[in-house]
Amino acid sequence: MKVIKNMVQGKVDFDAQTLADYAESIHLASTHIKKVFPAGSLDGKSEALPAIWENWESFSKATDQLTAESSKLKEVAGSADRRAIMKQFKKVGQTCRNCHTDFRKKKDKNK
Amino acid sequence: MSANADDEPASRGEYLFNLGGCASCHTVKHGKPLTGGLAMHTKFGTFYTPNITPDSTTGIGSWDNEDFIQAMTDGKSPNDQHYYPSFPYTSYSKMTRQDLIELKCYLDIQPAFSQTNKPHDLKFPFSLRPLLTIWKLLNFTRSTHQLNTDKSEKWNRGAYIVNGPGHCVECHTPRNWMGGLNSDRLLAGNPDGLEGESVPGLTKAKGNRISLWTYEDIQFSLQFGMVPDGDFLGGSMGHVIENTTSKLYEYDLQAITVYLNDL
Repeated sequence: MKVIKNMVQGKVDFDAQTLADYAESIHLASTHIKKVFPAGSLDGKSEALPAIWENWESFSKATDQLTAESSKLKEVAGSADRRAIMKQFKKVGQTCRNCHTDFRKKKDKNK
Repeated sequence: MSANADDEPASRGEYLFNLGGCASCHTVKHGKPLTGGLAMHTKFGTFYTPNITPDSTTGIGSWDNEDFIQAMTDGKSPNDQHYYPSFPYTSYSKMTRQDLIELKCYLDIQPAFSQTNKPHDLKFPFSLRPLLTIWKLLNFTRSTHQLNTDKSEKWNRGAYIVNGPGHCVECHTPRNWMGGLNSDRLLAGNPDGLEGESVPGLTKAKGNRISLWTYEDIQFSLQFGMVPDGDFLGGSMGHVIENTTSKLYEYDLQAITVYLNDL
């Protein structure tokens, strides 16, 4: 996301292939999310909230959303249409934020 | 007078409604808008937010402007009962009279829903509401926002938002044993925040991660929720971004940033 952000903000040169590659890796990672949160994995340093398993259906829906939106980002990346990319990037970001709002608790304020 | 002119105060009120983050606490997921009922768990017990829809019996539909202004700036209900500072009147008191009236205009035209308020569930002695008289004497000064003429207009706008309607100070400032804001450590962060969250400091002090961010980083994180390392802000700030900072005018985001950068 960081590289894509820098690209849409014009901090680094725009490159459709790099953007598509990153979108692809977000897309791939999103399909693994459900597997890396097995029930009851609250031990240790996890910042996951019990809400994940209490509302598994909405958590699962949210990850599906990320899968769908990142896949669209991959598609628009090829178009080199900066506005469309920015718009889709924001949509992906919103799905990130939604989950971090409902299902994650920060343990260290500076991390 | 045209109908449009009548609409104006309400549309400015809508902006103030977003700026004040009213929906973050008064609307709960799966609940009817603005009917309250959000549980706020604190070490004093659990507070429940009230219904602020224009319903005349369970909401605030019977309030006139003066009732609303008293609630927002003096933390008192129309029958002079003190409000607990879980309701951030301590910040809203800095709002201008005109802003408050416009905000009420907007609230007045929201759909009314009947939903009785859930009483707070507090530990003794905090459950004794009259004690708030003493709390207010020690922790609250009713004063509108003071302009700092040495600073720019933008800086002053930022200071107004952060300390007034935006009520950033409420979560980002540590509190004393009775829950009053520690005004000497304004925006220094609160490791012991609401719902056990550790709330980061917003000053330039070393150790606050925001001190390493550029002007642009701060603005982007407010608008979009993404921090420089690509991670996303979440928790209670997620609601603030959703309901407030993602909806602000560019100028106001700049104003907040200018002010924070100067702390």
